[in-house]
Amino acid sequence: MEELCNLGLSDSTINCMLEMNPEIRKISNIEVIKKIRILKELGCSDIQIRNIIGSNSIYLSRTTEEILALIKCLLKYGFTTLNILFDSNPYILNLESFEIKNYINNRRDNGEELENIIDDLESNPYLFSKV
Amino acid sequence: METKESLLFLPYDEKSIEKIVNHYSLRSYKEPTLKQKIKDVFEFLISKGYTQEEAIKMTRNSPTICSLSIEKMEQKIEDLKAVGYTQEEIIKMTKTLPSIYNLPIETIRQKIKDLKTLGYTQEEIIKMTRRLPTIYGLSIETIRQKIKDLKTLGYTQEEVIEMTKGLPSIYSYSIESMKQKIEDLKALGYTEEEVIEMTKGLPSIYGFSIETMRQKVEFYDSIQMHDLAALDPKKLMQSIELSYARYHFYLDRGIIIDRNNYRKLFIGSKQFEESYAITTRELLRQYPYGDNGEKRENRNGRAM
Repeated sequence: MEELCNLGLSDSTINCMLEMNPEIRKISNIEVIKKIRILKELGCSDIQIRNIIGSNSIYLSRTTEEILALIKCLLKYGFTTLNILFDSNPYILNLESFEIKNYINNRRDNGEELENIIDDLESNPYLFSKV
Repeated sequence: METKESLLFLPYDEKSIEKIVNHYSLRSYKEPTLKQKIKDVFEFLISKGYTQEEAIKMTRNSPTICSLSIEKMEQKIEDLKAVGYTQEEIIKMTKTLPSIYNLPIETIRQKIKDLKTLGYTQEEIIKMTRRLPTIYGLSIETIRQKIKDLKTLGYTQEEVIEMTKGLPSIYSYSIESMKQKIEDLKALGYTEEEVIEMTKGLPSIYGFSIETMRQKVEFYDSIQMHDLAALDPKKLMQSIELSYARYHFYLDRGIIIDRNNYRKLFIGSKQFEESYAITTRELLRQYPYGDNGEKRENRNGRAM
């Protein structure tokens, strides 16, 4: 919890995070630092990290493997500025790569070009809630 | 306990083993049986596609699953497939809520039936529970009460159903924290009616931290676009760094963004790149939104 407080989150945000994911009480500082480091490596600023973690505490419970697999999948599809994408919609970080693949494949099956689907998702990040 | 030592060949740390072997649901097992059960469940999970890290986490957080037989766990996977989940979805759900393995399939079927009576389709329920498996841990009375509470905030039953389809985690928030979020947004200059409308358009507002919301609203206030949140709430989702960079990019080219042309801030990345010959990465580099909410100086050294 100490590392979470260091992010500059208000008490009310931390309470919401706990409601969403009570498990964060038990997550070690080392684990939180690991998750922050992943975001930093994507180019996230301190503000973006605060926004992402403050809005999506589930992210802290995901395993590093899961997160890296998701990132790899997004990069493979051609998403470029992942810091902007995750800051826009922090819940994307709770998705699995198979969910992204299925969603994109469904749209491709309906005749859409991959490039256009990626652009649509990047430009309208709320669409990830349909994934 | 001897089991503790004999399990060290599995990739658990001592603390996790202690937690598992001392769990009330496993206390009645004799040492060799318990050791075998833990080993079997661990190996079963790996064989089904869970990673080692996930299998450890699942058994440590829900030791009760170690009391199940492999046949029962196999059967649960088959039953869940029959309900409509794919293998990948089952893995995703049970990683978050391993105790699904302990839930009788009748309970799951009944929950789906109950949720349908509230207005969700089977497909929507599958999608919602994939994202928030803890819905299976909520009683239908709790869900009904949450809907009732949300109605007192100003939503209709249909609106609640629609909002929770996109953001099932609304069922995890307490009504107090949702009321608090409404108050926080009112403090940013919106009426209660506007806040309700905003959240209908973008339910994720309930999930966004107030720091995020404040930062966004303050930026749009600063460019005289305060009513954007009420006018087109989905646009609020765009990262402030991107909106900020685009706004100043236009400004440098003599384009003032206002109510009439605000959509320019939100056009697709591809269209923006093609129209202005600048990549998003380069745009962000040229017009950085500073840490601590302070604007940095741009490349020309001009205060922004």
